[in-house]
Amino acid sequence: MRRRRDVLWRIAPGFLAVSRPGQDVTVIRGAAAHLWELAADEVSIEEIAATLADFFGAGPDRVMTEVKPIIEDLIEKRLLEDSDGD
Amino acid sequence: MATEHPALVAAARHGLPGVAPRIVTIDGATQAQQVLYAAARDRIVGLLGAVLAAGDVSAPPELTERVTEQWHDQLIAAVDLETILIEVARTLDEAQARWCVIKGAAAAHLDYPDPALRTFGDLDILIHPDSWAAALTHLAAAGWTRELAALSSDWDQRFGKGATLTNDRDLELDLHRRLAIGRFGVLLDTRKFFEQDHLESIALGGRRIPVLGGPDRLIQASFHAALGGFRRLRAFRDVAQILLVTEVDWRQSIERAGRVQAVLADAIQETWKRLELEIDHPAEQWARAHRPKRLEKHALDVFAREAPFRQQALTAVPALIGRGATRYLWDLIRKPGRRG
Repeated sequence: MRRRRDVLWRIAPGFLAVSRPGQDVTVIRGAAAHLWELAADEVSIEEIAATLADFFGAGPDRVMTEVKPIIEDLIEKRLLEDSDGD
Repeated sequence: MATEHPALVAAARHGLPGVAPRIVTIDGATQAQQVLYAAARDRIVGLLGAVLAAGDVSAPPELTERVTEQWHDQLIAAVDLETILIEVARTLDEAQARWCVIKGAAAAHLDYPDPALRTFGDLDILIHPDSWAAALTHLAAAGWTRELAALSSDWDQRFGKGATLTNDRDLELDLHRRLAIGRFGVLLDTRKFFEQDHLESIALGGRRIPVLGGPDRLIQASFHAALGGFRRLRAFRDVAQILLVTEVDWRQSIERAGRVQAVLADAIQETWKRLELEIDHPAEQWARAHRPKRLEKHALDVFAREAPFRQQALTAVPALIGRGATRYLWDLIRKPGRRG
């Protein structure tokens, strides 16, 4: 997955605000906000979880549990796109 | 000129190359509240957060948390406004208007290393004079309402600064026909900004968004710093940012400013004063050596003391003699208190 081309965002430490025209702004706070930096290029959910776990010194399984629903929400809102372009 | 708390000055200087950090203490909750309020209003909370994180400014611990909250709120607002900007861009492009973004969104993406450091509370768009009517018509059809009608049917084109539009969410879109009211606004022909090769663009939301070129951004930022209605530290930081970080060709700015060079000289001098910059820069030396003419000095003084609209507008009269000064005065007198 990766960021869609038509999104607008701002990132700050532990904070992400992201949107696209016609949509409310989605806000993510905490460590998960850093997934946006990783999603600048094509990346898998496993790679995101592993990188965040490594960076924040947390267990990958726990990070995956926290990050997965956030990523699914971002895909559903068409802020991230799957590698097949959805 | 209001005296700014040293913590605000420290924030507004933060990160400028060659500029030493200031070590400042904010004493007590009342002072912290005042600093937070002023920083939020001037939209420099991101920079204030940076000096707090760097330890240059020490403050009651709860201030850092509140600064971060305010900053995040402003980042959410900036993203929201940029989604609106994409829709406005579509409307203006469909109208085949010539336009470009100025101020907040343009500065954030082009002049600051991280757009999160430059927040903004509205959208500012400069319209080419030949596209003014079409832009207004198409934006009205897209749901944007003009707050105040023009002082007369041809006021906008002949003399006006522009129009403020709002949408059904009360978001503000400032359409600029000129960069200022008064003398310097009518003396600066904004057509030159749109000449070939002078505009730049940024990629935003998958679209190319036109913005002023670097030297013209310095002219625009100087207009805001010298003549704007809210001349606080952020306006001067923008001037310093464009000169010291973006490093635009300021000599080209001066050349392109033509008859409004006094505005640049005033803004640059005031930037050095308000941000308490100690560094040497040839643009500042030029500004210090510049001698404004009597009418220029008078006009700059009127704006510097933030005189009422009519006094600011009247500074244009000498420049309009032979170009509609009588009509200008008639429109101003006929509808006193109205802004244009």
